[in-house]
This record gives sequence, structure tokens and C-alpha cells, in this order.
Amino acid sequence: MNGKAKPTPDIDLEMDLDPSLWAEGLVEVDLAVAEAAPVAHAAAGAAGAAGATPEGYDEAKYLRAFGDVGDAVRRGDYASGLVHYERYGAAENRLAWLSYRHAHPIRESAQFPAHGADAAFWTASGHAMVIGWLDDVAEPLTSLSLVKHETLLGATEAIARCRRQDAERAVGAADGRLLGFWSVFACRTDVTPDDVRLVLMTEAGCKTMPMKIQQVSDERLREIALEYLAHASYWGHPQVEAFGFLDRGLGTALVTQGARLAERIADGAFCKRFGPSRRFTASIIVCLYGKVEYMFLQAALFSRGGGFEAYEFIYVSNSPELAERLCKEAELAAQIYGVSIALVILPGNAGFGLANNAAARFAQSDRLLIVNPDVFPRGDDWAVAHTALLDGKPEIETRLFGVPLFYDDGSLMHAGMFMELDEGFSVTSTAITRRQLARVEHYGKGAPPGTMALRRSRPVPAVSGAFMSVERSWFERLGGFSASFVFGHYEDADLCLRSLQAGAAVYVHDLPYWHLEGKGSTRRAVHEGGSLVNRWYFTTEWADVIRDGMMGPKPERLAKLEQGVEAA
Amino acid sequence: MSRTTTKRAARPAPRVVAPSAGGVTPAAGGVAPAEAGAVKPRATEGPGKVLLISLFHPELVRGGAQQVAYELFEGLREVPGCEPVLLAAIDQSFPALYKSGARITGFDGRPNEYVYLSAEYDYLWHKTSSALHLAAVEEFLLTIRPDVVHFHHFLAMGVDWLTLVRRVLPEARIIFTFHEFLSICHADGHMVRKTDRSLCTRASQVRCHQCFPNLAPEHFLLRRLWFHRHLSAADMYTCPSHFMIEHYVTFGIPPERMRHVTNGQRNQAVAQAAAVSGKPQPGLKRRFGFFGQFVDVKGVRVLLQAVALLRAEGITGFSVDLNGDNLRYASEAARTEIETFLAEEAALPAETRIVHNNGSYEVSQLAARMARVDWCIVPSVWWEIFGLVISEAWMFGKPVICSNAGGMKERVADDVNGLHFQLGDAASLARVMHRAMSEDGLWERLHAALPKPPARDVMVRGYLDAYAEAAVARGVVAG
Repeated sequence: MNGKAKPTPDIDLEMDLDPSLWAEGLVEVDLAVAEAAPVAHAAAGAAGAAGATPEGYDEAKYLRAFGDVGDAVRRGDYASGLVHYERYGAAENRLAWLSYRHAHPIRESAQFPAHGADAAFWTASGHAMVIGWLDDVAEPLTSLSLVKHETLLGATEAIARCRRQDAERAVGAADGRLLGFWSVFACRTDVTPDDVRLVLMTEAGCKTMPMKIQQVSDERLREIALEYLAHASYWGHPQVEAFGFLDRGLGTALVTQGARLAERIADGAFCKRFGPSRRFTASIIVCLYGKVEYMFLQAALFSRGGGFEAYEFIYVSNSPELAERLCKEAELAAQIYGVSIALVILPGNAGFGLANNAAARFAQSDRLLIVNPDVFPRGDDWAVAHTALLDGKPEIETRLFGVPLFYDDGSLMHAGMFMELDEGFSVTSTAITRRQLARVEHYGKGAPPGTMALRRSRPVPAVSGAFMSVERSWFERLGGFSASFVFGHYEDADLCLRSLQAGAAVYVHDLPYWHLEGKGSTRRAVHEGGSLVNRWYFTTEWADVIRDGMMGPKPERLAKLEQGVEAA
Repeated sequence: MSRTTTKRAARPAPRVVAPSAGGVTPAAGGVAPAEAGAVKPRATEGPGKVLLISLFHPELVRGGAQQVAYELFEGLREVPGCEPVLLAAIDQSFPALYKSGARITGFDGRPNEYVYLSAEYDYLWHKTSSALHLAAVEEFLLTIRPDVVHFHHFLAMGVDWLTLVRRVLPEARIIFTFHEFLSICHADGHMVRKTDRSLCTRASQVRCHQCFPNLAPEHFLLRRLWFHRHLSAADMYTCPSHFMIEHYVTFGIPPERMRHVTNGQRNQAVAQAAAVSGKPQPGLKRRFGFFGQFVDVKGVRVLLQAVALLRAEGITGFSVDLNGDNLRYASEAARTEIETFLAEEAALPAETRIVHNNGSYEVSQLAARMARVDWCIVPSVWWEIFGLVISEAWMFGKPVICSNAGGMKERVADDVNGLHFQLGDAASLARVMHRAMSEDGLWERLHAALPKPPARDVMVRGYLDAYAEAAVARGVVAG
């Protein structure tokens, strides 16, 4: 049971819980009602002549699992939980619901497969992560939960599996089974996570065990989860296997946790301005992470040519620890180059997309240039050329456009992006799994710099977020970058496809820039985990659209537009 | 050649911190002139006010670049219509000169001489990281208001000072004199490959990455763009050697804005040399001397290895005098090798010693030191931009034996007025030394052909021409 459950119509809708908790199959338990349950049940027994309790039904457990039912019983809407169950719950198969199965009392199995509970983490905002292993070939793990005494803190069926070679050695298993398990799920925030027990539930039994919970920040939990995902190994194709577990709920949990965290960080943006402050033609927004030097390098190289007075910089930092140094560098840059810099400091890492969204709010212009810190103009006249392009091209062709980007060796690095759908196969000893994986490719990677067929103005499926020039109102109408992408990667293609769906294809125009790809920030395993989640999310969101005329370097949907450009 | 300025925007009155009795105490972060009247009325003839920016003051740290800057400073003082001002950077090696809260101060009570108290210098990108220091520099520029800003270095200050000067003083002429290859080469500006110690002829992303594997190739593209960005603020560039010009043009400096201006001297050494009289004594010349710093690129190790080879072949009866210091700045390997050699040499009976370490010397001692040698050896293992020591050797009539590269090769004609040996090759040097000490008439022939080293006036005239050309280039005067 992993879908959102509808509350029973008779029950007070104000009792509906946080959707995320429903999504995880978790509802709160009203202990007071649970304690009173025997009386209500007795009343129900007196009322029902048939008298026989349905198989598997436990009144106390039912009221603990469905707090809204407990409230209704307390108000006298129902004589007992059983009455509710017989009227609605049986039809809804509530005894199979996760919250019921993991509600107290839980009956432990006398026999349970070899297992281990390694670590559990909890955040004050209500997310938990559990890591362990289970030799469950005979009776697969179906769900797990954290409980404190009689209170269910959180439960989930969205469990990812991975290889655990230490466990394989311990149980002598090297036969293609994935013994490791881990999950991220929502949990209660109103109960201190001490004296907690982990509940593992298989198709045949149940086991509870003491679990020491480490309280961590949301950022730390995100790091732990994404690093775990990045390092997880499987018997089959790693990405196909990982996508399978992300499909089964873990992806949604990670995206939700990441988005909430990023939004909270972005909301804490603080802006300090250096240099002149006025209205500008455009705002160059640069998202920094881990490195300071790119600010002064960009300030030096962007300000070299004429026309730069019409542009401002907005640096947004995903590295709060660099705030002081960035302030100093911004002050120096304003002194030396006379540039205008708005420095937006975030209290954490909101990721590329939301950091840019936050920065855009401080723009003093109607045009946004989303620029990576490792992007630099190839010519001194870039500002004049950019402004001239805005003035000279039809508005629809400049609403959102990218540019050719070049490696340090002079070869082409990017001239737009296109999408492919790969058919991934994962072959293990027990199954062959197929999964589509979206792939975003650059036109012209490594091509000679003078390849004009790639550099010419034309519509493309997407452009790199390393350099995007976008009309501010259009960016805002699209809602900016999506919050659902963790850290960075794929949010640029997502934005471009949303622009196309909303009526404006994106273009490439021939303004050359250097892009020292990947040198502008530090990259760790946690970012690889984020990229994997992003690719999964991008595939989930856009596979149908890509398949429907947007696949490959010459997608059908853009053919007519391109013919128009060629004719012009 | 007209030096009359024709475009001069209205400027606010210079902000000059009033001198206090007994010295200078700048306001926090401000600029203090060395003494009352340091800022004189603007000259109406000549190049006007010339701000010379130097790495170190030669009286604090010896070195060719600062010596040339100071020679020019003294020379420009004698030029009508010219008021030179010197700003020399110093670092924390001189903590006593750092005054609390000051970033620029006067120097030892001398008119128009200032020191920049460097701090927070970024040696990777060659920039200052202190906004307060930069603000002090800006205030200094607005206070001094030079017509010409002549950089002799950016080290300890920041190559981005050029851009700052251009923004703060848009009409000022900016001249940049290259004294080494630091703009091109991250390896201390030596253009010596760290991979095999060979001389490097050009920088590139991959080649520089090979020397510094911890820095990505992309870093060196950015480094080049960064230096180009700031050096482009200059109106004119000069090099003291012709071969340097090729390197800098290859690097991207426009050749039409590059000039050759020789280094010239008119210091105490010249006066001492002039006082040396009399013909050289006949006979074989078996006394060799080294003058300079004991840092790796100066090649002292090559010289000591050559001595060891000669001794091993039974060739003795010659002497090598070492004159210099700064061994502490040598690499550990070089320092160990030199110290070990000198210790072993000192342990020998006096009559069998060949190498004598005379240590550091002042310019005033140069004549005495030069009198003890017949040949000057310049065994540098890098390009050696100009080699002031060559000029000094010539002043005292000493033929030079030098490495066959760069400024040494350019200035010393092999077997005409000196001798070359293969750069870095101790055996080659040993062969040349053996020839020098054993070939009858060689010394006399070379001695007779010694050129006259460039005088300071020649250098000053060269720079005045560069300032005038820069004025034309900027449109400050009619061409």
C-alpha cells in the first residue's frame, strides 16, 4: 500500500493528516482513544449480534493505526473501531494498510531470518533513514517501521535493496541476492527518538529490535542518503536496479525531502549589494559552490569589454561558509572593475535550481543570464553582442536561449542539448529487468571550433544551464527551475522542455563562451547520488514527451521551426 | 616629440595627508607623504609625474628589478619636467616597517619614496585579497595623481593593480616593464620546466599542467586570460632583452606596443670601476668569481660541480670566489649540496682549497671583490633576463663565462668578449674554465673586446621615449 489513501467520508476532514504522511502510509495515533478502545469494542460487541471479530482485527491496533477513526469513536460517531471497520475499513482493506500492520501491538515471529540493524537517522523536520540487512530470500522484506513503546514513529514500504558483502560473507550467500536494505521516510516530529525499536516485516513474519537513532540535520540526512545511493552496488545494471527502487517510492521520498529542504534554505536568502545599484539591461546570475576564485575571475573577464555597464552580477552562494570571503571579493571586484555585484548568501546548499530562483528575485533587470562560475566570454565584445542579439532577433527566439560553449582547448563543448531514451537491461540470477533511462546529450562535444552547422542560430530541444539567457517574465511564468532536482543536473533540460510545452522553443545563438566544465565547483559522491535521483526524476517526468517527437538530435517537433530558421 | 598634455579632465584637489613633525603617521588606511612638500606642483614640461612601482626597495632586498627601478627613479630626478615617485612593495620580512593601521607609508624620511605594506597577497592569482589595501592604493593614486604609472613588477601587490590604475586614473599612461616571465610562467616566472629542468619556450594548458599536476589544464587558460585582462590596461610594455620580447609576443602582448629598453647603471659600482686604473697584469688568469644570489636558478651548484670535476681530474691551482647570499631561499636539495660542499672545502688544508665563500656584499664592496677575480662566471640555469652582474663584470674589466641561453647569450658574444658553456652542464663549464685558465692570450683578447655596459642615461632616455609613445597611443598628445 503506497498510494494516498482517501479519508473515510464520515470522518471529520479536518483530521486529514499531512499528505506526506499519508503518502508514506503513516497516520497519527491517538493514545487516549487507544486506551479506551476495550470499552468501545465492548459496545460494538453488544451492538453486533454476530459478535465474531474479523480475522486479523485488533481493536486497539485499529484505533492506533487510524487516529481519525479514534477521534470519531471518542466523539461518539461510532460505537467502536470495529463498527467503522465493518462499515468502511473492510472494503478499504485497511488491515493490509501499512499503518495498521505496524501499529502496536506487533506480534513477533519466533523464527526470523538473519538480520542486522546498522544505523538510523532522524531529523527534527520529520524524516528518518534506516540502514540494515536481512537474509530474506524465503520471506521477502515488505515494510519496516520505527516505534517507540506503543507509538508508531514512521513506517514505509519504499525500501531500497543493495549488495552487502559483509552480510553475504556472514550468511554465506553470494547468489545474486541483495541483502542490504535502506529507506528514507517521513516520521513523527512530536516524539523524541529515544528508546526506539526497528520493526522489520516480511511476508511471513515480523521482528523488532532496539535501534539507536542519531539526530541529524536535514542537510546531513540528504548527504547520507545520496551518498548511500551513490555507493550502493547491485548484482545487475546499477542504474536500472537503482531506478527500480526509486520507482517503488524511494525516489519520491528523496525528491520530497530534498525539495522541502532546498525551499527552506532558499527562503533564508540574504542579499548584500556592492558597487552601483540601478536598473540594468540584464542580470548575470552565478551560483557558487565551494570555490571563491571564480567570482573575481568572472568580474575581471566579463568587465573587460565595452557595454558591461548595462549588466549586473548576482552571485548566489550555496556555501555559507564562504560568505565572508565572498563579501571581500565582491568588494574588491567593485573597487577594481567598478562592477555591480549583488551577493546572495543562502544558509545552506539549496542546489543549483532554487539558488538561481532565489537570486532572480534580486535582479534589477528584465533579462536573466544564468551563468556557471566556470563560464567566461571568449571575446571582449560579449556584452555589446548580447544586447545586439536581443535587439535584432524576433522576441520568440530570444525568450530563452543558450550559446556555444568551448573547452579550454578550443574545441566545442556545447551547442545545445538533445534527449535520448536508453533501454536499460539488468540481468540478475533471478530476473531480467528493463527500464528506460533518459539521457541528455550535447550537440557538438569535442567538435572543431568552427563547426558553423552547430554554432548557427537554431531551435534546439534544450540548452545547458551553464549559460542561459532568459526573459525574466518568462522565467517567472515557468516558475523558474524546478525544486524537484537535487543539487544540480537535468533541471536545465527540464526548464527548456517546460518552455517548449508552454509555447516557446529554446534557441542557440552564436555568442561564444569558454566553459571549463566541472571546474567551477567541487563534486563529491553525494552529488553523484543527486544526479542519479535527478535522472530518475527527469525520466519519470519527461519520457513520454521525449518519446513523442522530441527524441534524438533531430526531433520531429522542432523540424518545422528549424525549417523556418533555415528559410529565414 | 611633444610631451605637452592636451587632454586633462578637471580633477579634484589632491588629498594629501598633512605631514606631522618628525615623520609620517598616515590616517588609518591612508597615504602619508614622506615629508612635507612631497607632492610638488605639476610639471608642465617633460613626462610630468611618474609613479614607479617596484617590488621591494633595493636597500631592503637586493635584486635586479628593484635595482633598475631605483636607478630609473634617480635618473628621472635629473630630467626637467619630471617628478618621479617610488612606491616599493615590501612584505612581512620587514615587520618593523609595518605601521599599525597603515597600508602605504613613507620610506626612511626620503622625499617621494613610499613603501606598500603588502598583506593578504594571493600568490596563485597574484592579487591582493584586502579591500582595505586596495582602497589605500586608490587613495594614494588620487593623492599623487601621476601622469605616468610605470610598473616594474606586480608581485606582492597584484597584477590587477593595472586595471585599478586604469579605472582610477583613466588618462594616466601605464607602462609595464617585464623583468622575468611571471606573467607567462607559474614556476616563479623562470620558464624552466619542472619535469626535466629544461628551458621552456611557451606556456600552454597542457605543458603548464605537466609542471603542476595538481592544477588542471583549465587553470592555465584562466591564468592566461587573467593576466591578459590586466596587462591589457598598459599602454606600452618594455623588456631589457630582445629575446624576452619574443616570449611575450608569443604570450599575446601586441608587438607594436612592446619596446626594448636596456637596463642601465650609474650607481656606486660605476664610480668605483671608473676609479680602477692600470693595465692588467700579464700571465694566466686562474681566478674565477661568482656574484649573485645562491638561489637555485643562479646555478651555483653547476659551478661547484665543475670545480669537483676539475679537481677529480687533478686540475688545481685555480680559485673560485663566491660572493652573495640568500642561500636560505634555495631549495632544500640545493642548499644541502652547497652547504655540504662548502663545509668539506673548509675542512681542507688552506693551500688545497679552491672555493672561498666571501658571503654577502654591499655595492660599496664590489670593487674589492672584483679585484680578487679575473673571470666572472654566470652559471644561471634559467633564461637570465639581463644579468646586471654581466654589466658589473664589464665595468671592472672582467670577461664573463656564462650559460649559453637568454640574456646571457644575447649580451655575451662567445669567444669574442666572453665564453659560453652549455647551460646546466658542469662538465661543459669545467672544460671552459680549464681553457680559460690555461690558454695563453685568451683573457687578454676577450678583455680587449669587452663592451661598455649601458649607462643609466641610456636607460632613462629609453623610458622617456616609451612614456612619450604611450602618450601618443592614449591620445594625450598629438602624434
